[in-house]
Amino acid sequence: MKRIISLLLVAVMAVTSLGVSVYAAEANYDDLVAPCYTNIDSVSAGLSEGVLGFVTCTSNFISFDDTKTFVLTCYLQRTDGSSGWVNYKSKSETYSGMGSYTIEKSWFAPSGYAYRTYTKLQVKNSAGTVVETATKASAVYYNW
Amino acid sequence: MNDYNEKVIKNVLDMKRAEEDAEFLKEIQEAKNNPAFKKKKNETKLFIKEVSKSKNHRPMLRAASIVLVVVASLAIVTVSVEGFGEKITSFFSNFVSSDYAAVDVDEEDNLFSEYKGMYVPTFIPEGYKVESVVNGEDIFELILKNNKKCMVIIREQSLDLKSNIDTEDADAVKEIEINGMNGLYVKKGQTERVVLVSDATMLYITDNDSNVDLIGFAELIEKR
Repeated sequence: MKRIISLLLVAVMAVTSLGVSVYAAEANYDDLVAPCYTNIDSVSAGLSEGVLGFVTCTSNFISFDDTKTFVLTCYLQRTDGSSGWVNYKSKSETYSGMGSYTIEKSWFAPSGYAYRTYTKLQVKNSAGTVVETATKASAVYYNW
Repeated sequence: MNDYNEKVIKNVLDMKRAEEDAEFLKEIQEAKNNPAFKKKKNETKLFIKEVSKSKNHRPMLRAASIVLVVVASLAIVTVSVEGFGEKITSFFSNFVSSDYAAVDVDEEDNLFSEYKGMYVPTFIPEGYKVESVVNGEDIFELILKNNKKCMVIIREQSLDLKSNIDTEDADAVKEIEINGMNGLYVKKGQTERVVLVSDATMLYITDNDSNVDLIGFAELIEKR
């Protein structure tokens, strides 16, 4: 019994003296934190530069609510810098039930503006009433 | 007269004893010659083996002591060092968990073989099947569903895709590291989310099935 206890103490001292290192994540996740959603898991917006002046807009949402209807609208917004963002192009789809839904659309983006994708999601109940709205803007693409 | 009687009795008893001794010796001699009592060849070996069995307890006690020391050490370090317990449980969950034993992606005719360079799961949780695959400009997404209205979504997205993820009033939010990528784990009600970020990409995994160990599942995701 004494031998077991002494072995135990030696093992604990050996393991703790090795200095178990625990990672420390230092990434910034402020961009991911959102207001509290009721029916939505996440909303996303993306804009990527294509060729010959085209840009590709991506809007996505995820929901685990199987009882709602969702209206997802993907806007290509632009600004000339002197005024606010203006809806330039848009595409809208309606979905029912849980899932991950994506609109991806390419549009021609004339120079002289800054562009961004703006995602708007409306959640409707069985009566057709909008019960929740969520939005998200992408990073800005400057095409002056 | 009494002395004479005593001597007669003693002589009779001695003669009787001698007869009995002679009979006993005769029985011993007969037993020696009886084949039923002859020592068989391997009897000695069997006897030694039976005796030596009792000596094997000592190595077993030694092994039990070592196991006890290791388990106790792990328990003490797990309790005292933050984050160590999670590493241990995720290590063992890879071998013990049966949730991911249903479909080995490599055995199923290379289920995701066409998606080279993408993050794909190496196992699919039991009861789930691939519902859809989205391979877009900024998104590569796999949706797994079962027949109980549960879903697991694995999405690899470029860092150009900005996301709002519901973390407010969550039951648990903690920073994690999986396969060299730092990230967040969020649990809110029935749903869990794992977000992992590297220099070029973000991996977003979410589900609404409490039977799925999402962190364990995330650790089994590999880049093809």
